Amino acid sequence: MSRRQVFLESVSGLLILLFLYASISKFLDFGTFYHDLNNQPLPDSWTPFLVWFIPCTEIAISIALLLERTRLLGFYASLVLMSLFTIYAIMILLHFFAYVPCSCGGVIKHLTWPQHLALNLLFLVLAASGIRIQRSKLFKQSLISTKNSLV
Amino acid sequence: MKSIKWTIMCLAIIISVCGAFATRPKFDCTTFTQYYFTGGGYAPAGINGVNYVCLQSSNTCTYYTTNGGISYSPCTIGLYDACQGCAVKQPAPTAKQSSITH
Repeated sequence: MSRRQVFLESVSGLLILLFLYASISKFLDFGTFYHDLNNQPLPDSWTPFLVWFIPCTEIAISIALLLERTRLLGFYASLVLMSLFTIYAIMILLHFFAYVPCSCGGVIKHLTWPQHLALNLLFLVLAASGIRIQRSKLFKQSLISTKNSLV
Repeated sequence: MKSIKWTIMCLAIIISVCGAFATRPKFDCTTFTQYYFTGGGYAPAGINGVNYVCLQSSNTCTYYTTNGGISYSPCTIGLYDACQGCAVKQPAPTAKQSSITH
C-alpha cells in the first residue's frame, strides 16, 4: 500500500470519525439538539426538518466514504457540508446575525466559534485533498483498464 | 492493503461510536424543579442550601417531575429539612443596630 493510499484511507477515516461522532451525539441528546437548533439564527420553522436532515446526511456521507464505489461522492458531499458549516461559522464571527448562538454536537459544543472555524477549515482541506487523490486514483485505474481493453 | 483500509475504517467507527456514548451528557434530575413530599402531596422545595437541606438519611429528600405534576420521581437522597442547617441564617439585630436603623 503506497503512502498516498494510506493518506487517502486516513482522510476517509477522519471524516467518518467526525461525521459519525457528530451524528450519534445529536441522536443521543436529541432534545438538547432540537433546543440548540431553535437557538440558531435560522427560522424556527426549519428546525423539524434540520433536526433530522443534518444527522442523517452525516451518516449517509460516512457510509459513502466507507465504500470504494461511492467514496468520491462522499468526499464531494463532505466538502459541500464542511463549506456550509465554515461559511456559517464565518458569518457568526463577522456578526452577520443579531446574536452569537451556541455551537452544537457532543464535545464539539465546548469549542468557541474561532476554534470551530479552525476545525472546519482543517476538515475542509482534508476533504479537498481526498477529492484530489481519489480522482487521480480513479483516473489511473481508468487508464489501466483502457490499456488492457486495447491489448 | 485491504487489511490496513479496514483497520482504519473500523477504528474510526469504534472511536466515533464509543466517543459519542462516553461524552453524552448524563441525566441530572437536580436541574429540574425540586419538590418535597408534604404527606398528602408535593410542594416546591426551593433552592438547596437556602430554602432546604437534605440531612443524612436513606430516605428520599426531594422529587422531580417531567410531566407537569402527574407523577413524581425520587431525585436526591436524605431527610428533607426546611430550616435547620440552612446556609444563610439572618443574624438577630442588636440593640445598637436597631437604633441606627430607626
